[in-house]
Amino acid sequence: MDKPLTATLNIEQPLDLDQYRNKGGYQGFARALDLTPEEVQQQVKEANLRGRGGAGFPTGMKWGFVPMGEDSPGRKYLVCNADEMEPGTFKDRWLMEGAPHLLVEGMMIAAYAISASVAYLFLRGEYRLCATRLEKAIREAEQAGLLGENIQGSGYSLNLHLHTSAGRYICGEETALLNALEGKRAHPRAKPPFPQVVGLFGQPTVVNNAETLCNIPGILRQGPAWYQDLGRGEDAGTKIYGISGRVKNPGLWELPMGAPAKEIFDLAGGMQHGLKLRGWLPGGASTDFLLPEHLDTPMEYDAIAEAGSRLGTGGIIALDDKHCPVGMVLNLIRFFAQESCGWCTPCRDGLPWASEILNRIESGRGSQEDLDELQRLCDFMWMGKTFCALAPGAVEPMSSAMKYFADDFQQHIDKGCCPYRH
Amino acid sequence: MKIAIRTFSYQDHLNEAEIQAIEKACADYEQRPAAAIEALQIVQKQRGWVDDPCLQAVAELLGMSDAELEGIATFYNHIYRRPVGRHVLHLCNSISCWLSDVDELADHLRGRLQVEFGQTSADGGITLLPNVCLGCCDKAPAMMLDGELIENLSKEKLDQILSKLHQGGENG
Amino acid sequence: MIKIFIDGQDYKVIEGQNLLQACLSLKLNLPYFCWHPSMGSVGACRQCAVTRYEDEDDRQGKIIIACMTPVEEGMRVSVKQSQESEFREQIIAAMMTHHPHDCPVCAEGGECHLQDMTVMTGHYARQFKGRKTSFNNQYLGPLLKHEMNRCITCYRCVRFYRDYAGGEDLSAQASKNHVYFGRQTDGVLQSEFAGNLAEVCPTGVFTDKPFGNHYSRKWDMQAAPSVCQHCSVGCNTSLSERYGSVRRVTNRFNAHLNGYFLCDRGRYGFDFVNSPQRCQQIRSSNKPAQWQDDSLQRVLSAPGRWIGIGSSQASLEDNFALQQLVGKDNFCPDLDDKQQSLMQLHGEILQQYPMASLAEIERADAVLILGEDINCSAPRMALAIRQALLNKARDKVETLNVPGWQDAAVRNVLPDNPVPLIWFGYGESELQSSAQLQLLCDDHQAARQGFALAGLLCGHNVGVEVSEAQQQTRQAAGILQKASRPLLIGGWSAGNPALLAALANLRKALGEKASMAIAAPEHNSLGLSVLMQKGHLSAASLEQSIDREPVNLLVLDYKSQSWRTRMASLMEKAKQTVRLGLLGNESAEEALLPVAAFSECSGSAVNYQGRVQYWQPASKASGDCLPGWQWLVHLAKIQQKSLAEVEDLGQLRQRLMADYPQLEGAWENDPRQQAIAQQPPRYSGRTAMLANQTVHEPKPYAEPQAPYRQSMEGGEPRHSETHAQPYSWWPGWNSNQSMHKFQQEYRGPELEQQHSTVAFAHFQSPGWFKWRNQWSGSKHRGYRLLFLGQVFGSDGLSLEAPAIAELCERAQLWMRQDQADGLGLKPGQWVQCDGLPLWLQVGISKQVPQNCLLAYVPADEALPFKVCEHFDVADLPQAEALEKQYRSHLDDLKTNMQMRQARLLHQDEFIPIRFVEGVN
Ligand SMILES: Cc1cc2nc3c(=O)[nH]c(=O)nc-3n(C[C@H](O)[C@H](O)[C@H](O)COP(=O)(O)O)c2cc1C
Ligand code: SF4
Ligand code: FES
Repeated sequence: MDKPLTATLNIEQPLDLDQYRNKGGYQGFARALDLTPEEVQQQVKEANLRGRGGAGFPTGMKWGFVPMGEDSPGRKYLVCNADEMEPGTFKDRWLMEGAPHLLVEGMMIAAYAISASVAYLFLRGEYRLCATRLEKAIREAEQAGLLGENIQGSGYSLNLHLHTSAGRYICGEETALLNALEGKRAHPRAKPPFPQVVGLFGQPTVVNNAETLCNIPGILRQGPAWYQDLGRGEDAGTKIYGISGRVKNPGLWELPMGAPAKEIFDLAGGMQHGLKLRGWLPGGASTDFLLPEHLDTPMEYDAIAEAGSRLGTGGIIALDDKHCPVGMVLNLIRFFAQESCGWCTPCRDGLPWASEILNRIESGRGSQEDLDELQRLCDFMWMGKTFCALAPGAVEPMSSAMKYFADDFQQHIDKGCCPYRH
Repeated sequence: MKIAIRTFSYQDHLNEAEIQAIEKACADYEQRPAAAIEALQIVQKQRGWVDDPCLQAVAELLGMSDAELEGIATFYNHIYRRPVGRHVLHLCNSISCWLSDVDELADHLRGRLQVEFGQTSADGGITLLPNVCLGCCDKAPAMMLDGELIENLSKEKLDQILSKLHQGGENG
Repeated sequence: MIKIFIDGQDYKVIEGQNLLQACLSLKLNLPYFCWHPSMGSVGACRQCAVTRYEDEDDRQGKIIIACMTPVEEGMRVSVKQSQESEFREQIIAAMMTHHPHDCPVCAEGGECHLQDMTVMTGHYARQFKGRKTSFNNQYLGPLLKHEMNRCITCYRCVRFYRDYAGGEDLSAQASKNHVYFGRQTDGVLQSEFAGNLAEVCPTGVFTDKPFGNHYSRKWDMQAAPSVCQHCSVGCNTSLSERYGSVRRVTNRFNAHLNGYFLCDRGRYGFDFVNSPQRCQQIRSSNKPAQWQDDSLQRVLSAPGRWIGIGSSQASLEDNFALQQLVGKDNFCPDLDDKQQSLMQLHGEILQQYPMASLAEIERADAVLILGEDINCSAPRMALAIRQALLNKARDKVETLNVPGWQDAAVRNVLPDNPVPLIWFGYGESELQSSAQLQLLCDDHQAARQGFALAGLLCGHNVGVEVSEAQQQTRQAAGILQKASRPLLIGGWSAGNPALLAALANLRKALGEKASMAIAAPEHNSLGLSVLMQKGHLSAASLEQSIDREPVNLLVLDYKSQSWRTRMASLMEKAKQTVRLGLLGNESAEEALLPVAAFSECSGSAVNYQGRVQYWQPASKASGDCLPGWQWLVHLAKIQQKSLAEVEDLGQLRQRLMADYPQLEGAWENDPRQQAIAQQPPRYSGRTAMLANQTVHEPKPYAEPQAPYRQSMEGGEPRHSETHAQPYSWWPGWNSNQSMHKFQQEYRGPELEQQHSTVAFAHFQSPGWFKWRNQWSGSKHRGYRLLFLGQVFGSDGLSLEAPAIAELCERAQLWMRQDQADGLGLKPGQWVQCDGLPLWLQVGISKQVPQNCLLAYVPADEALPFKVCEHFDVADLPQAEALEKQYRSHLDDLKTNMQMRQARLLHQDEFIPIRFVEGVN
């Protein structure tokens, strides 16, 4: 099976430029330079690549909104979203530490496809090793004339800068990320206008997830048809899936799109000794709980949505039967409340409120009204009522937990304590 | 806007290396204030935290107001506007670490250092801070000590690290 | 107009609006916080949620945010179904998780938008059971109080302060539910528009400090519509009074002028009416006197020629009465010849061209500021110019199908889509630093370049050779030619009539597409220029003739100390002087008649556009004070002049109109016949107020024939009358946000406009102004001093308000670095020029033209020279002495303020009912 994302990945010592080139690296970029930007966009459209940042938006279509041609603005930007702060998600870090050149090449092709002259790699500050390795890869590419003015005589110029952030989950939201890059408080921006039209410094900008961009070199090198075929089900290509929690062997694997969740659990060796699976979040902290009975669901966008959750980042979090679901939701909601940017009311004030109620329930001081209030808060922070998707993301595990683990919530109230602590 | 007579100058508060590093960061962006976050990190690197005069100096150097820069400095988790200890310990408290019982480690740390999260130990050695998911979910629990990731934590491992730090602190 | 359905009913609304604007324009109650009629939408608070339905059959609908949604033809929404109502109630509940329940001690209580919205959403019981967060407050200077715990995080304050008004020292800090709005450190808020925060903040975080020190509830105050007295814009204000003292000024919406905002000089400067310096008693030969006293009567009826000296700070009526009494040939509008010639020229220009209102200024797509310190001379106009700078960005987003009220989008594209601002002149200011094209020059050069620019634009010389045009001037010509709504800004600050002439020429060269605004120094400077149309005595000839022929002086004195100093030399030469004085008891004149302040009587003034505006009294004058015109009528009786026949203000205005027919209609709508309550409906009851002291009910005060009356219970909000509102109130809307109930459209003209006439008919066909020789600067040795203003410091009357006096900067002298090096001076040093006794602090600025220095001198310290050569630097002991002197001056001010406050509190305390035994 082809594993385009990890074929050149070496976590101990990533390939340097020459080694990467020897393995076919930068061929995709060379192919791209032979095509027009529009043709590159077309290839990615045909490959049916969907964004790996969580929302699964078709990448080619996203690029297609960028104004192109003579009259389009002279400055355009490509931004790689490598903020990865979603709890339970660690795939981008693996790719960047192990295959920095793959990402750099992906960014270069994407930038070319929208005729961007500057690209930023927005990296979360805690990822120090990533920073060192990426910085090195960028320098190597610059020295080899792959970045800079008039690249390889093509007439195309691109500068790529690494931006290390100072930590804030909301920076991962693409419009907040743009504000962060402009050196502002990272509040999300209203849409429309979409970043593809009015983005960084008011110019057309595309924001793509790091993993999304790592898929691009393969598509250009081997073609859309090859890429389509990689997927097992509806969606194309491969994906980095991960799992954490009390499984025997937590980790990351590159699997075809549509591999069932069970396969990932099996790769992880199942639950640790003596533990049973209670539920799982399929793709990071802001997705709905699924149950063991959903394990056969293919890990692809629509199938997971049908099962009642979201594929998200593909980082599975497994809840075992010795940990309290209420405690887990409390931990998640605390995270979201802490990371709210403070812009809109439901998120800023609703999340701490939910956290306060959950804390009360978890510690056995909750009441029936608290449950009702919590249910109301789920509604209060739902999609469309908040400014961005942070709070609705927080609601997903909370409301699904209240559905699937209603009994646990009830026991906390009835017994006046957490049943898992006794 | 009142035009007041100014006597403050950023050169009095930032050293040459810092100024150069900040200027270099500015070159990466269309507008100077965009380098704000990097500039604050540059200043913090040497000094551990950003004090008021440095904040005002950076603001002047970037051509923005100190109030605006304060708004940025206080927004991001990893800019410190209060002094920190010689070492900063960030313990991940997100979900995968929680499932790996990081709460027990947290209690252990609090007890050993005699501090709450957000505080610095009495000898000024260690500042204990929580951190959101460090992206080490497969090797939970995890923490970051002075920027270095440390994974697969246990009480024993923590004790070792702390005593090493303690020795280091005593020796210099 | 398009059709939309709200709760099943169809309405016609204007296309391009958002749903919140549309609902408010339809007078529906839809709660909101972060949206502001002047600041657009950002969608932060989520309070304005409504439900939208796909079509008629859609029963479920979807919550949308009204302020972020453009209206669309056929759109179906509901605003009062349970789904959206519950959500809106939850929004308040969420905001209230940290809001303290301190309404009883909050100065905002009773006119709090948060209270109103809470009631409107039906949130009445606390649901959150956790602890509240608490914050530290900051010291923000003498104008505003900070109480962060009350914040509901709507972001209005920073959006107004930074985005709208260009202030830099207030920001949003921290994050999540700990967002903090403040400065980097404690200190005085630097923007001269900071005071608006008291109205912009929907709750009590920022409150009016001088008012808050002895606040009254809105419903306990008498209010009257008024007009600001501190610059020539004439912003509309509302004055509130209680127990005989004026408590505060708030904004009174006027679609042409101030809209929703005032500057701080206007908001806080009114306090001069409460000054201990106020003249209260008739004085004769510097001793208290009675009207009947023989000695006084002798002075007042003295034979010989009487010369009247008018005042641009007195009302049109007062000046007219003076002119009537002494005769046109004996009426001297001002003491300064330069000012008179500016007055006259400004009047002439007004007869040829209309002046742009502030609303029109906001629509410009290119701006030229010619040698004017507009940030200081007309702060509110500078704020309007700032808004014009957004127009291209707004156009840009609209081409991307994003509505122009999407504020964040507009500001995002702003750097790449600037409206060109051209600045010819000197000095630093907020607008100067935003200028795209600058020419650093003194006022003479600015005027000459203005003439040359006009020449470039019309293709032939208009008095100055086109070849004189500098490169910037040529660039400016290109910009102005391309613009479709260019705006020309000038004023009197530089004291140079050539600048006004240059502007008029530019206006003629650009034709009808251009608009123009010229700022005059005082609120009624142009009122005087109306009166000058019928002849007057010039200041210069008065100075010459008074040596030959001693006369009696009759002076309208609404001015500051420095003006009286200037008058002293004339008084010495006069036979005798009668002063109708507002301030300053100790003075050398033979007779002093104390006049009522603007807050105590009706009057009118003519603003920079020539717009006649009038105000009404909020309180009764105390002591012997009478309105200036009434004293003059009394004098006319003694002197047996025809003015003696005037019985009331109406008759005086009749005469005024007869003499100056262009004023016809100015007072048409003054509703002298109707009685309008000065109190809101919740008024606590006038009759009980003094019950602890006397059972006799005090007689309600009203100016004879004035329409505004103290009433028993307060009045209902008007709906159909044609007068100005004393205050803004509507059931359920206790704050000034109730304004939309009185507007045709949100932010549109008021339903019933206060009538105002422009006093200058445009009867003269525009001609070119020729360059006059006396406009060319003369060669001189040394440095020419160019004067700069400060918002707090250049206006004498407002310096009588302690809060403003505290902000008054000390005298400054600005120079370029090379000049300072040449003179051996350093920033921060104190110097004297040519041995004159005033000390100035040296500042360094790039904005100083060749051979000039810039000076700022507070209005109460006259600087009697224009050129200087030698500078003496203060040595250490001198500098220390100066510091000490300044500190003690500040201490005096503080004491003064405390005393004043104690007096007011004492006054308050003794009026209401007290249940303490033994107190009467
Ligand atoms: C609160 C929040 C946090 C997010 N964090 C990330 C992130 O850390 N990394 C990421 O790639 N996308 C993140 N996203 C999604 C981005 O907004 C955006 O959809 C993504 O970067 C687009 O890239 P893609 O099209 O390549 O998926 C986040 C979204 C939200 C609402
Ligand atoms: S201080 Fe007032 S205006 Fe500012 S965010 Fe808070 S409530 Fe809104
Ligand atoms: S008023 Fe509409 S979201 Fe605040």
